[in-house]
Formats: sequence, structure tokens, C-alpha cells
Amino acid sequence: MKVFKHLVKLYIIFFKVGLFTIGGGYAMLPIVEKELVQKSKLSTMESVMESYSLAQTLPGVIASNAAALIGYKLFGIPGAIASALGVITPSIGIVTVIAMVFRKFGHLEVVQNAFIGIRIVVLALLFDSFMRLFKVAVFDKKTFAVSMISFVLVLMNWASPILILIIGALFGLYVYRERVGS
Amino acid sequence: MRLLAFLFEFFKIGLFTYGGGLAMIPILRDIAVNKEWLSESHFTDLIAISQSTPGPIAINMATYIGYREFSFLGAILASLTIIAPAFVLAIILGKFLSKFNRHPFVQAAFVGLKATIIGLIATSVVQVALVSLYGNKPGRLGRPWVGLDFKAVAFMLVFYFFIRKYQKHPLIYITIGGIASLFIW
Repeated sequence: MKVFKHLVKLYIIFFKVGLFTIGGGYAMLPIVEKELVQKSKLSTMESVMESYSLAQTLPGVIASNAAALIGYKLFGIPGAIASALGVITPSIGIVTVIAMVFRKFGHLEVVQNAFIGIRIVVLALLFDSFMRLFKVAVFDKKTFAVSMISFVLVLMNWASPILILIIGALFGLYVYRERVGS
Repeated sequence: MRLLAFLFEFFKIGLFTYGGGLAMIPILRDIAVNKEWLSESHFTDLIAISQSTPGPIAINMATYIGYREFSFLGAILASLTIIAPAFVLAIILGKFLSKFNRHPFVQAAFVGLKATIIGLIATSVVQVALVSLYGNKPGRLGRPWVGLDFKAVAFMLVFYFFIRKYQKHPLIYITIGGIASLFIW
């Protein structure tokens, strides 16, 4: 019974994390710290940070990976399930409502006109993210070549992005296996 | 059967994308547009919606597409499916994960993976540019100057300047952009 209570608590904590981090990412950390470390004292910040950095090295959704790893550390598999479900529940609820509303009102002229500008803002935001990530991930001729080749292949629809990702990882493994190790 | 095939796409995305929401955008776009779940411009709208609503971007996108294709059931299952592969990996690898990540081979693979993702994100930038900087007809790769809306280009440059300068939350720029758009277009 006590374990069940803890699981519900974990679910609620990560529900809040999902609800208050708009767009995901690092924004979740302050809320996790406040709820899990300061208020309920279930975990320490070091442990949370460790789980968060591990979460980034797994595929998929970082926030739910982090939630699952934190939950798993605390209460095993049930903890992982409660945390991961908690963090995605608000999204599912809210976005379903938005999808319903958008289906009904999306064709209205005022909505369409607003989205002309919004699409351009999306472009500016994406370009900004691209520029920042580029500086981190592209640091020599080989990484530049890999990014250019994958850009062209996917842009021209000559290869599927997933296939390109797999080849990119294998290429990195082959080319950098010694350099990184030393 | 159609639902299973649909969910399989989200399983693939959940298993093969590395780097979170931003890296997922080009992969999801490729599948969503090719399978005709959404048009190119509708997908761009979805990026905006996902960045300005609570929760992880990938979950927001999966929920939205899932709802459109299979109603409530689709919304829930698409979101669960996209997190499932990494969830299982997290549990299996659990304690070994940090050791696994420090392995030189894994580190080396990540270097290649990150460079590839940059190329993929660049394709998203181009695709979004083709639907956002042109009038009613999307721009064409071969002739990018045909139909280019210079008002839109100016709008983009102004926003890019402020995004770089202040680095505020995307939601703020999206809201301001939506309102400003009503006066301009």
C-alpha cells in the first residue's frame, strides 16, 4: 500500500513536470528539482542530473527517458512506468483538445492568417537551433562532410532519414573509434 | 491492421531518433508527409503547436497525428509507442548505461550520429522555408527565387535577430508572430 502511494506521488510529480515544461528539454529540470528534491525529498539533485544526462544518450523522447530512469532508480519498473506515464499525460490531454479545436476552426481566415506569421517564426526558431547545434556537432572536415551528405540525400528524398542515421552512426564508429578512445 | 502499421512508424521513430524533439522533426516530417498524414504546411503548423503547448515536443506531435488518424485511441497509442523502445532500453541497460556510454565505440558512434542529425535538421530548415517564405504556392528547390515573398523574408530576419539577441522561450516569439501576422497579412 505504501509503495502504491509512492507511485501515485511519482505520477503526480511528473504530471506537473509535463504540464509546466512547454516544449520539453532542460526546462523540466527546475521543476523536477523543486518537486522531487526539495519538496518530497525522494531524490538528490546529483542523481536527477545523472539520470537526465543518461536520458539524452538513449533514443526517443528525452523527458520521458529521464522520468523513466529517475522512477526506476526509486521504485523499480513500477516507478519507471508511473513517472513516464505522468510526464506524457498532460501532453496527450492538451494536444488532443487542440487537435479537435484545430480541426473545427483551423480553416478560419483569422487562424490561417495568424499561421502565416507563425510559420515564419518557426523557421527563425529552427534556424537558430540549427546554428547553435551546428557549432557543437560539426568540428572538422569529416563531420562537415557527413552533415552535408546526409542533408543532400534526405532533402532530395534519395534516402530515408532513419537509414541515414544508422549509416551516420556506423561511419562515426569507424572513423572516430581511436580518436575518442585516446 | 492499419493501426498497427501506423504505430510501427512511431516505434521506429522512438527507436532510431537520438537527440530529442528537434532531431525528431525531420524524421517525423518525412514519414508524415510521405504517408499523407499531413501536408507540408500543416506539418509546419504542428511544429509551432508542439513548441507552444506543455510537454515534450515529440509527444505533442505524436498525439496530434494520432488523433487525426485514429481519434482518441490513436492519440494515446501513438504517444505510448514513441516512448516504448527507449523505455525498454532504459530498464534493460539501467545500471550499465553510464558505462556503456563511456565506451569509446559508443562515443565514436555518437560523433557520427550528431553530424548526421545536423544534416537532417538542415533539411527541416529548408522544408519549412519553402512553405513559410512563399505565397500561396510553396517554393521550389530548383528555383528558390520564384514566388519568394520579400515581406516574409524581412519578417523572418527581424524575428531571427530578436531570437538570437534575447533567447526567450519559443512560445513568446510564436505568440508575437501570430498577432503581428494578423496586421501584416
